[in-house]
Amino acid sequence: MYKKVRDVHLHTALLCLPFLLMFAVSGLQMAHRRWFPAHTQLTFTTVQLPSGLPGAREAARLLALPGELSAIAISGGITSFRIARPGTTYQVEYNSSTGMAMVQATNSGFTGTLNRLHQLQGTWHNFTLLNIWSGVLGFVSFGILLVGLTGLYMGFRNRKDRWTGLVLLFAGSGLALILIAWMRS
Amino acid sequence: MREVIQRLHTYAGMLTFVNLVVFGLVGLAASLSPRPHEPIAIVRKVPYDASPNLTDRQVAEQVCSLLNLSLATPIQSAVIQHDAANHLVLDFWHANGRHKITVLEAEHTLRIEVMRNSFWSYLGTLHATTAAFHSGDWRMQLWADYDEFAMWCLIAMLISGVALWLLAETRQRWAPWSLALGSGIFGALCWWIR
Repeated sequence: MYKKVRDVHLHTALLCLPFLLMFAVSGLQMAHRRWFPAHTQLTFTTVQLPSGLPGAREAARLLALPGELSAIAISGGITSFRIARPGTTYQVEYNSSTGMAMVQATNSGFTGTLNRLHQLQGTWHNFTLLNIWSGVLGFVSFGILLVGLTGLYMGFRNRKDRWTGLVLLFAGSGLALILIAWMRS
Repeated sequence: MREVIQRLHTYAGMLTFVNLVVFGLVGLAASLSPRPHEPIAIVRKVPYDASPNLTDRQVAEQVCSLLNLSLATPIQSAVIQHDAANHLVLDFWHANGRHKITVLEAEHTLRIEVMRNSFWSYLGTLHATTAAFHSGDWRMQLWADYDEFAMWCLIAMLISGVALWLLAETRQRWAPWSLALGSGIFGALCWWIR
């Protein structure tokens, strides 16, 4: 039994390792932003599209920029919308009478990309890649739980460190659970 | 050497087990979360008389204390607002959700809109609260410091875990393939999203 649990612990951890490192680095970046100064790159381009397009979706389809379409707004003949994927955001203003589309691209670099990946939620996005990433991160999160539980079992089975481990487990868990319950008003 | 690393790896995990479970549950909940929607506010009124000489900030502190919103402290400047009718509006955000309070001086009343977080959102807020966060509530500050410690323990366990695998006396034949598969999936997804 111990050997099987150890194998599950090892293989799950190794399978999830790149993702766990991503979570760790991005978590560190969010907790200590000054250690990871932002390197945002802005670029501006204009694209000539056909005039009179019916809406943002049609304009976005023709621009063929990869990402999720959102923040659609229409004002005075100008349709503005955003296309975003982790690390890159395109803010577009399309003039339906002239067909001119002004595209502002914001690239937040490697740490910005990891930051967005860490915060991905749900599988309801209109950009398939985000749904795939979110689903995979869900499996990795399950992997964290599995690694934790198998690690707990192996800790208990280790006679040398069992009692020290138990004291640490109850001390740490006790503190954490009391704080979680107490603050939940 | 291996025994020392194993001991530290085990102790780090035992000490921060609940935090690791919180990290895992939050990730799972995030992946399964539905499309965000406007939270439903529960509105109630409580009697309140503001002294005439108090500043907006002093009123904010008084209201915060009256409603036991210690998790919303220290009060940031952005909390203190005014509506179109020039009523003082206090928009408190905290781990349990949001309290939007309109001070109706003429009616001697506080109009309180409460938007409570789900338990999963609450855990999500807690998992992201680390030592860089300075709370006016000692419980939250203690949690923030402990969560920071748990984050570093996780990093230490990743490194020590790889070290334990590399220093193992008997090598698992399929272990490198697990790492290769995980790395391949990660690499492919990163390439696809660039």
